[in-house]
Amino acid sequence: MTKSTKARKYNSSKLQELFSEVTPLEMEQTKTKMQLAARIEDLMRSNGWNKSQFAEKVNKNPSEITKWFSGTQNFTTDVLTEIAFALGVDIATLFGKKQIQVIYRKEIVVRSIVTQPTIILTTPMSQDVEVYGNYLFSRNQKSEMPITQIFKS
Amino acid sequence: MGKIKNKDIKIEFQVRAIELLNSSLQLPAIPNASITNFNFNISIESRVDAPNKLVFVIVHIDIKNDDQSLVLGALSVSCIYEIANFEEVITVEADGKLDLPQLLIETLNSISISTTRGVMFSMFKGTFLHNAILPIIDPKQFQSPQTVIDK
Repeated sequence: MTKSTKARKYNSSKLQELFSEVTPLEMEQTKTKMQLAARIEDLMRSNGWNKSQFAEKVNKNPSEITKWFSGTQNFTTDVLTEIAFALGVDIATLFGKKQIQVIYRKEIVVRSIVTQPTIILTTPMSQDVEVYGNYLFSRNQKSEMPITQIFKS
Repeated sequence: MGKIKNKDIKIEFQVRAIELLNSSLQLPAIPNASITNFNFNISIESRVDAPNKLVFVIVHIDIKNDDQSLVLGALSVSCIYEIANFEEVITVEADGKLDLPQLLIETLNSISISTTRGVMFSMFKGTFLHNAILPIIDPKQFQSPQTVIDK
């Protein structure tokens, strides 16, 4: 027997009732707040800051920043000006349509250690020396290759 | 054109451009000191241009000495990919944020790092960084986005 893993559509009269109580204006207000929060977060990431660093820039607690990014915050003009100033953008940029979004950022450190090879690491050639372009390859040439060491997060 | 399967969606993409954004060398002023061990501080970032169906993967590498006290060189490469079936693959959330499948992120990151390895070798060949070959990186390292290793 195959088990369906698809999400089923949930219909509830109570839910429909709640939705019908939300006016188009309220929907638009919620959407604007969420888009504004997403735009600020995106600009924060573009600057390479995390929440704590951003909180420091705008002299707020990190918990306040979390609240901002929840999309429920009703920002005042003063706060938006402060945010725009810290991000180094014009206040209108906060409302601008996102053309390019940063969706991923990661930093890793990799270390390479050169070891003396115990095997020949040179490509075997038919002659002792062959020329490709401006490169010389020799059978006797010793090559040293790095070993990968990844520092786990 | 590359094709990868992510659950039910087949992702079709191609490399549109490779840009060398920056490269620099800085020979340390330590006489007769041969530098053999290197640290590669890699910063990788993906940007999406939805209207043009483009994904930019920008790889920046700082090459440092063994104890990370000196920056010996730096290189930035941007790989630009076009996702043919962009609308099928990339979902837009309610707040306007774009969501890329993890498999696509990992694949594009792996290709971009390999490309950067080649560009780096080409740029630094014959210099004191000739042997600074970027080691192979486990794609699992690219999981859990937004986590930054504190240095």
